[in-house]
Amino acid sequence: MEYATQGRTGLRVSKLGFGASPLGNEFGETDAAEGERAVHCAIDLGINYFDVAPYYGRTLAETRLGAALAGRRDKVILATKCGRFDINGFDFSAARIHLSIDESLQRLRTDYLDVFLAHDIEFVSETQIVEEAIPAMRSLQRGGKARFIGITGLQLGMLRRVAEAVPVDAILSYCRYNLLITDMDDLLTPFVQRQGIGLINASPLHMGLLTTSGPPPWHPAPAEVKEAGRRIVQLCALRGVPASDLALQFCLQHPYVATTLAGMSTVEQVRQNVAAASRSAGTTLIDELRHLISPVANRSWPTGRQENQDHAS
Amino acid sequence: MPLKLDSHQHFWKYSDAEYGWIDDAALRRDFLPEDLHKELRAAGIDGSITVQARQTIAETEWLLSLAGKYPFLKGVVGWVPLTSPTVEGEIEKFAVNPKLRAVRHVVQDEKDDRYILREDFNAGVALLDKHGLAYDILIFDRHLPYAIQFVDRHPKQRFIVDHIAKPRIRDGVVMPWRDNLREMAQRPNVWCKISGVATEADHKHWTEAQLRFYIDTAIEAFGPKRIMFGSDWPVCLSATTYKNWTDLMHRATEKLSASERAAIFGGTAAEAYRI
Repeated sequence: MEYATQGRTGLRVSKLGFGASPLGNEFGETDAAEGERAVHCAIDLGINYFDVAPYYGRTLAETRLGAALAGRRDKVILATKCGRFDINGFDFSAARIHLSIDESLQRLRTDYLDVFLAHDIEFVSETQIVEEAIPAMRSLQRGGKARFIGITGLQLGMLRRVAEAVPVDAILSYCRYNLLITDMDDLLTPFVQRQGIGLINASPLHMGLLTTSGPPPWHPAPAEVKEAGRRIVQLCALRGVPASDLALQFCLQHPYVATTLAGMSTVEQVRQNVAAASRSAGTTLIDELRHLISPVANRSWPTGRQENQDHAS
Repeated sequence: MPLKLDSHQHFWKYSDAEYGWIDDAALRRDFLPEDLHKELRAAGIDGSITVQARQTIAETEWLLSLAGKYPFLKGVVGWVPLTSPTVEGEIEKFAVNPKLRAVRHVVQDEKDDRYILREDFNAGVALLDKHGLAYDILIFDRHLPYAIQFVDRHPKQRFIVDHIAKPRIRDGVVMPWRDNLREMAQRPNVWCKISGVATEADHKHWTEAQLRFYIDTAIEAFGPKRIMFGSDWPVCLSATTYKNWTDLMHRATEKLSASERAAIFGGTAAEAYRI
């Protein structure tokens, strides 16, 4: 496993990170015991970065990850989130954030987080994130409950504006840098690199879209993007390369992102992802795929409040 | 090669009576030129500007006597009773010593947030320029609007804002500090010290990106040619080490040009304090 330093946090993180949202059944029913074995296998194979959220499985993912990490907490860098608790359940008030971290710590069976992120910030006002949520998270950091704090979201402009308005240690961006889309590098990467902010990239498979089984029913991508995903999967199959391997390798080549989060819930997925991460992708096939989907490249979708969107829609 | 300077450090012979404000047990001991000299040599810094910690005439006399003895002490920011009708006599007495480069009053600890606008205080400050002395502004972020009005009353006076005006880093608060600092930076007769930053964050749990945000804001506001590096040693030891702080400042300025870095690490201080 390769490791890299996550911005100025100084955290040495495995380039492949464990995304724990599948442990909360976000991408279909998963087996709790198998999920636990997957976590143990990941640690044994050198993965040290684990990302979860109270939102995933409405606390189920945290509960399962916490159980799996019992006795292994000191081997991992653990990140969870706050502010999003349900599909339409958001609360970034200082009081809820203080409560949320205690609940998360209890489920995760630990007394501190390495990284604590405000989850999907575009669903509330920028002012509340800057003036209430981040100061509340800093006060928790001061108390030693979280070593580093940051923000997550789909809307890159808002992530950047918040980080320009108030200091953050890390930013998690998802579905904005993978085989189907790379506008993270236009809108966010140069800024975070200049500031030394840790950058975490998630959803190398575009939330399940680059898999043979296809995206979950709730997937918000426009139809033409889903179609492009199918074509990538088909072409990769023709060339005898699993699309998911290639998609992961593409993300792992990013020069500044220290850790790329891939969702995993089985030992088989862990082994496959770790094996894929140990090889580098053939650039010719990547170029071919990027060309194939170029008509729909860089198409995202609206999330959250109108005023927080990257593109007027 | 311009000198590499630490624009802000203190000395003391610790006593409870005189240094009651020091709440960190690790700082309740003597910090003297020999101690600093080791840190400077290890960090590759040629000299420093030593700044008053006690508000007494004796403090100014003591720092000047140290500066006479130790050539690496390039200048002294002393204290004189600026609100006293007899302050000019004190200034004249001290100003013959070329090592006295500025004076400072601990405005941040005054009960009256508008202390810096007091008539008697301003009458004292109005005497400094003709004696070739700068004035160090030691305030918290909440005092910035008053400090701007104060500066506007003395357009020819050289001012140095200490510790980037002490934003509330530990509370994650940026505004209105940032707007006010940028407004202050509009005045060409004001310089700014990047010092005392780690101690405004949580001493145990600060992060580099957190400090960098405030450092970058100050550099952007004033430009590298009006920014000076300072350690605030030994006060900084509550939150960092001399080496960690200088290393962090080197990283924070690594993207700047060589002449800009030279300014921050000495040139600016030499210009602002006329060293």
